[in-house]
Amino acid sequence: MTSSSGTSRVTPLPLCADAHETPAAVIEQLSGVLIGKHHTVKLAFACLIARGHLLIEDVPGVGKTTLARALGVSLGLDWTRVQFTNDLLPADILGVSVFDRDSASFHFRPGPVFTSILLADEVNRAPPKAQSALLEAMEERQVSIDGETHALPDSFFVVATQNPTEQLGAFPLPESQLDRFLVGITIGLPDAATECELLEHGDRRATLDTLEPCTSPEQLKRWSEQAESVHVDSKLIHYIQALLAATRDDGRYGHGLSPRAGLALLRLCRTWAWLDGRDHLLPEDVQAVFPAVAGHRLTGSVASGQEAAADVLARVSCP
Amino acid sequence: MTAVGVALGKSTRKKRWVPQVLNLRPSTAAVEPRILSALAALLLLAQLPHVVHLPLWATLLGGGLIGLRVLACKRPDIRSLDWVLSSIALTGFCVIVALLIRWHYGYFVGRDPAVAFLFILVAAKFAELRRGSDATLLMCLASFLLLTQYFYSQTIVAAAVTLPAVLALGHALAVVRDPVRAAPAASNLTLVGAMLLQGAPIAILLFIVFPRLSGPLWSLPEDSMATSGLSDSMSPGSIADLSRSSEVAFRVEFDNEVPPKDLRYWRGPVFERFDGRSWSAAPIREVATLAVDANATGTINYTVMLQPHRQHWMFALDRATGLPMSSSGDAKALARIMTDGQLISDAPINRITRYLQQSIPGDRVHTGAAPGPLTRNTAGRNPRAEVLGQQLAATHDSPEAIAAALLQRFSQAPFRYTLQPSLLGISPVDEFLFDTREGFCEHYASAFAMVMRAAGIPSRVVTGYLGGEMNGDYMIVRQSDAHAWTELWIDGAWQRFDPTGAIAPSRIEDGIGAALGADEPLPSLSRLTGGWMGGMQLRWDRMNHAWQRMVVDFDDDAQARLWEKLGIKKPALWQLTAVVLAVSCAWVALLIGLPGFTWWKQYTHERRLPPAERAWQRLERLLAHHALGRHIGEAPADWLQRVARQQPVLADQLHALSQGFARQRFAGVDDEAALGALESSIGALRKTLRRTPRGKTTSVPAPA
Amino acid sequence: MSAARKLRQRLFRTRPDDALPLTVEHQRIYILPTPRGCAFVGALLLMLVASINYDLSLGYALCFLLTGLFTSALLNTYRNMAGLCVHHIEASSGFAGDAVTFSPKLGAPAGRARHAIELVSPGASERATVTVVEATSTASAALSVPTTRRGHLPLGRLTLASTWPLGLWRAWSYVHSPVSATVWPRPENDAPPLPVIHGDGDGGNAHAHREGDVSGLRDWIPGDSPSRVAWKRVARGDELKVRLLEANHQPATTELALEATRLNALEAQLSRLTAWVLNAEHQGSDYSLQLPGTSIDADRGSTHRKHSLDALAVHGLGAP
Repeated sequence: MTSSSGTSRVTPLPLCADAHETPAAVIEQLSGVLIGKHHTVKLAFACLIARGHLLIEDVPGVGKTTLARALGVSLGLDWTRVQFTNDLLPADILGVSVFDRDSASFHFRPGPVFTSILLADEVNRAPPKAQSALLEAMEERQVSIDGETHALPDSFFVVATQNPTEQLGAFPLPESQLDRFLVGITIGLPDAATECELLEHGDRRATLDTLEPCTSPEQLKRWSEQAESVHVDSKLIHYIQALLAATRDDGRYGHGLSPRAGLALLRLCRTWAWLDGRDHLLPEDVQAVFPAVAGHRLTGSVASGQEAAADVLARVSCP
Repeated sequence: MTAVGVALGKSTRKKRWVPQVLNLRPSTAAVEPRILSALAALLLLAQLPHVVHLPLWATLLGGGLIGLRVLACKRPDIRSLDWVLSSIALTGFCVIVALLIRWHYGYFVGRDPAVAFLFILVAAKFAELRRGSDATLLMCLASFLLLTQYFYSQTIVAAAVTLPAVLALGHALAVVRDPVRAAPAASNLTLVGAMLLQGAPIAILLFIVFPRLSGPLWSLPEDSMATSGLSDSMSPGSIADLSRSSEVAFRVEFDNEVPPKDLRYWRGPVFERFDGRSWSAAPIREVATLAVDANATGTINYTVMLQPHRQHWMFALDRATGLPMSSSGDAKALARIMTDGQLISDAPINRITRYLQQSIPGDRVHTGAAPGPLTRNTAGRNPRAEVLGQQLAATHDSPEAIAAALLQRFSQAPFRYTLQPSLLGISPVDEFLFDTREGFCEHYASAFAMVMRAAGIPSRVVTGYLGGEMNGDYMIVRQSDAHAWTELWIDGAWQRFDPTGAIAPSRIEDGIGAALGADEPLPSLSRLTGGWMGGMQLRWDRMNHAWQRMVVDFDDDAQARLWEKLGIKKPALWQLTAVVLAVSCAWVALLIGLPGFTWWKQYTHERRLPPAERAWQRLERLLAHHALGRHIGEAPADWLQRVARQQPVLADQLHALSQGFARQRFAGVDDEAALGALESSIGALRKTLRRTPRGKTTSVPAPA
Repeated sequence: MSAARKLRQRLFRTRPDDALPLTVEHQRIYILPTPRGCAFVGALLLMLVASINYDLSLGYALCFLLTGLFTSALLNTYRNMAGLCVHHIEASSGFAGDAVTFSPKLGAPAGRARHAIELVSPGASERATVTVVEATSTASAALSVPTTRRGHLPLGRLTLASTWPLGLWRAWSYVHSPVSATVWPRPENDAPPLPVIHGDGDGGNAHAHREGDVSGLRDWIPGDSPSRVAWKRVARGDELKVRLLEANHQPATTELALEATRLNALEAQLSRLTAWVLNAEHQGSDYSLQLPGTSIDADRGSTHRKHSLDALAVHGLGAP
C-alpha cells in the first residue's frame, strides 16, 4: 500500500435492537446526515438496493465521503476508502500475493476492494489500468490474482467520485466503463437555508460517529428481492424502450443507451416504486430515475448528461 | 462536386474571357444529378412513342442530346462536352435542325414538322439545363410532347405507353421540389401512383362531361398525311399491294342479320376512265337522287366505323339504299351518292367516322343515267384484246353470253390467280391476256372491262372490299380484303360481274387466304382462320374495337348519345361546371377524411384499447379541449398537478382522478367498479369545466 | 375589439395569443398553387386546346388525368399540414449580438408522417425544414435569430409551410405564440477585475484559488495540475512538490451591484456586470447580484448564472 492512497477501515457497529427496519427509516437517517439532498440520498439508496454501483460527479467538499460513510454505517456494512491517484497500481486496489518466509509460500493479502462499500475517490485521476482493475471487480464481483479467484462480499457496492472532467491530469472514464455504474449523480451545493443550518450545527462528520445501523445486510437482500417483484405494465415497458430508442436515433449521443443500461433502468425504476411503497411502477418513477441512469452514459459527464436526459424525456410521449 | 468546382475554376482562369463573354460553359454543378436523371427519364419516356413516326435522324439527335447531357454530368472531366452543350452551340444546332426539318417535310408550319421540332427542342433545352426553374418549363414541354403522340396513334398501346411517362412526370416534380431530401424513386412512384388513383374519378368525370366540339378551332395548313387504303386510281398491282396489309379498313355492326359471304361487296371508288393501263374516276360526276324505299324487303341496317383514310369516299354494301347518316341524335347525311353509286363526303375522312347505313344486297345498280362515252372507250393501246372483244361480239349474240364466254376463258388454265404476277409493259391488257396469264383481281377486272368495251358493252371497274370477318358481334374489314370487280351496262342497269370468281371462286366464298397458294406473301392474319394465334389476334382486335368505341370515338356524337341514354337534355356549360366542381369537392372532402371518417378511425382504434385506456383518452381529450392538454413527455400525475395549479377549483377532482387512473392503468388490476367511478368523475369534471371560465390562454412552458 | 380586428387576427394571427400545444386545423391552413403549379395549369390548358382542335380523345384523357393529379396534389399537400401539432417552442438565451435559437417541437398525433415542413419566422436568418415528423415522437427544428439588444426577443409569427409532395401547391399556416428568448447584455470586453471578495477566504483578490487547507506535500507526477504545485518551495530550490488539499473550505463571495461598476450609463453598467458574472463563474467564486428591485443571493453554478443573467437582461424593461 503506497502512501498516496489513504485507506481506513471501519468496523461495523453491532445492529441496534430497536432500529426501525424500514427503507423509509434508512432514508430518513441518511437525509439527516446529508441535509437537503433527499432525492440524491434516495437515489443512492435505491442504487444500492438495485445492486448497482454509484458514480458521484462533483467538486470536493460537498459530502461525497459523508454520504458513502453514512450509507455504510446505516446499512450495517463495512466500508473502505481509496484515494485514486495517477500513480495508483491495480495491486493497490485488489491486493497482492506476498511470500511468507515462515511457511515458504505465497499468500494473498487482500486489498481495499475486499469490503462491502468501496469509496473510490477521484476515480478519473487514476490511470486506465487501475481504473479497469476496479471496474472488472465491479462487473464480476470477484478478483482474479495469480490465477486464483477471490470472491468479493455479497453486498459489494462501489461509490466512485470523479471530478468535473475538464480539470487537468484526469483520465476520463471510457463509455464502456461508465456503463457499469448504475446511477450517476451530482450532490451539488446546499441551498442557502441548508447551508446556514449546516454552519450553525457544525460539521456533520461528528454526527456520523453517533449513527447506528438501521438494517442488516440480510434485510437489504430481502428488500432487493421485494423490489424485483414490482409490477410493470406493458405500456411502461414500451415507454422505456422508446426512451432508449430516442437516445439512439439521432446520433447526438453517440450510440445512445445500451440494452444493459435499459435493464439497469428498469431495475432502478422498480426499486424506486418500491421505495415509495407501491407494488406497481408509474411513469413518474421512470422520469424520476431516468436522468440519473442516462446522464453519465450519454455524454460522459453527469451534469451535461442530465440536461440531455431531460431533453430526451421531453421528446418521448409518456403513456 | 468539389472536383467539378475545382476543374471549372482552373479552366476559368486559363480562358477567362470565353465564359465571361459568351457564357459558353454549362455549369454542370448547378443542377442536381437527381433532377437531371429524373428529367432524363421523363423526357426519354415522352420521346419514346414518337420514334415510330419520326425520321431516324431526328430520333437519334433527340435521344443523343439527352445522353450527352447525362454523360456530361457523370463525367465532368470530358471537356469537349462543355462546348457541345453550350447555349450558343445548341441555338445553332436548333437552327440547323429547323432547316433539316423543312427539307425533310417540304414545309415547316404544320403539325408534323412542329412535332418533330418540339421533339428535338425538348432535348436541346434539357442539354442546356442550368437552373432549377428551367426544369418547370421542361416538364411542361414534356407533357405537351406526350400529348402530340396522339396525333399519330390513339390505340391501347399508345395509352399504355403514356402511363409510365406520367409516373415519371410525378417523380420529376417531386425531385425538382426538393432534390436533396426527396424520397427514393420507388416510394415516389408509389406515391404518384396513389395520387393518380385518387385523381382518377375526377379525370373520368371530366372526360365524360367535358363538352366536345365537332370541328377544329383553327386549322394549320393541311398536313400531307399519307392516305391509306384504296386510291383514286387503279393500275396493275395496286390492289395486290394493298392486300399485303392487315390493317383494319373499317368495322361494321349489323343491326340484325349479317349478309352471306358472297354478298359482302363493299362498294368504294368507281372508275370509268381507262387510259390503256390504269383506271380512274370520271372527271365530272353528278349527284344522284335515291329512290328511297327504306322498308323494302331485304334491307340491311348497319353501322360502319370507318378508319381515317384521308379520301372522300365512304363504303357501303353494294347496293346502298340510303345515305350514310351520322349516328348521333341529329341525323344528318354525311355524304352524297353519285350516279355511279359511289358515296362521297364533302370533307376527307380524317378521323374515325361512324355512320348508319342501309343497303339491299344485290348485283344490279339501277340509276337513271345512261352510260357516257367514257364507259365505251378502249384507249386503243391493247390491239389484241380489242380483236378478242370484237370476235366475242361476233360469235355471241347477247351481252350475257359475251361476258360468260370471256369468264369461261378465264376459268381455264393457264390463267393463274396470284399476288405476284409478272410485270406488264406498255400494253398491259394484251400481255396479261395472251402472254403472262397470271394476275390479281385488278388484272382480271381491268382486262374484263376492256374486252367488254371492245365488244361494244359499256363497262366500268369498281374497287372496294370483298368479305369481312365476324369477330363477336361486329365485322372487321381489312385492307387485305381489297378487291376490284366490274359492272356491265345490260338492259338499262349496271350488272355486277366479278371475273375473279371465274379464276378463283374460293376468293369470294372463303376470303383471300383460301384463294391464294401458301407461297403468296399474304399478311398472316388473312390466313389465320383458326388456331390460338388467330384467336388471340381476334381477341386483341375486339379489345381495340371496344377501346375505339368507348374511348377514342368518344366525341360530341357519343356524348349526345350518352345524354340521350340517360334521358336528359344536353346540359348547359354552367351546369356541367357545377356538377364537376361539386363532385370534385365531395371527392376531395371524402379523401381528406370528413370529421366522421377520422372519428370512425379513432373509434375503431379505441375499441381495441382496454377500458381504462379509453377512459384516460377521454380525459386527455376533455382537458385538451379546454387548452389544458398534456405536453409530450409529461407524466400523467405531473400533468394533472400542473392543471390543478392552473385551475385550483379542479384540484380535488384531479387528484382523485390521478390516483385512480394510476392504479387502473399501471397496477395491472382490473376493477370494474373503480373504473365506473372514474368514468363518472370524468363526467363530473366535464360539468365543472363547463362552468369554469377558460383560463387565460398563456403558453405554459413544457416540463424541463 | 372591432370585428375587423377580430377578422384580421383570425386570418393573419397578428397578435401573439396562440396557446401551445396547438393543433394546426383547417381554419388556419391556407393553400395556393406555387408558381410551378401555375405553369403546370398553363401547360394543361394548352394541352386541352390542342386536344379540342385535333379532337384527340386520348389527349383529353391525358389532360384530365394530369388534372386529377393536380387535384390530388392539393389534397395531399393539405393533408400533410392538417393535424400537425406544435407542442411547445423552446427558446435559448444568448448575449446581445449573438444569435438565439428557437426550437419548435412538432408532432403528428394523427398517426401519419409529415414531410418537409418548413418553418419561417420574421427574424430568423434562414428557414428551417423538418423533413419527417413521425407519429410517435416529436421533431424539433432550430430557427436562429440574430439579436442586437438585451431584453426579451419575441419569436413573432411563425409560419409553417409545405409544398410536399409535388411542389404544385403550397400550404401554410400561421402560429403566433407569445414565446420569447431572453437576450443577455453583451459582456464588456476586458472588464476590470471583480470587486473585492467577501467571505472567509484569505481576503485576497478575486483570483484566489478555491482551495482548502494544505494538508501536506507529495512529489510532483506528470499530469498534476500546475496550480497545485508548491511554487514557493520550488523558488527555494526544492524539487517540485504538489500540495495535498483538504477537501473542505468555504467559498469566497463577490457582491455585484450597479454601483460597484463605477460607470454611469445603465447599459454600460449592465454590460460590465454581465462580464463580472461570467468571470466569477469562470473563477468559481460565489457571487450575489443586487439590482434595484431584484436581489439574488450569493451562489454559483449554471442555474445561478442563468438567474443572474436573466435579471440583468430584463432590468429596467417592462414586462415581455
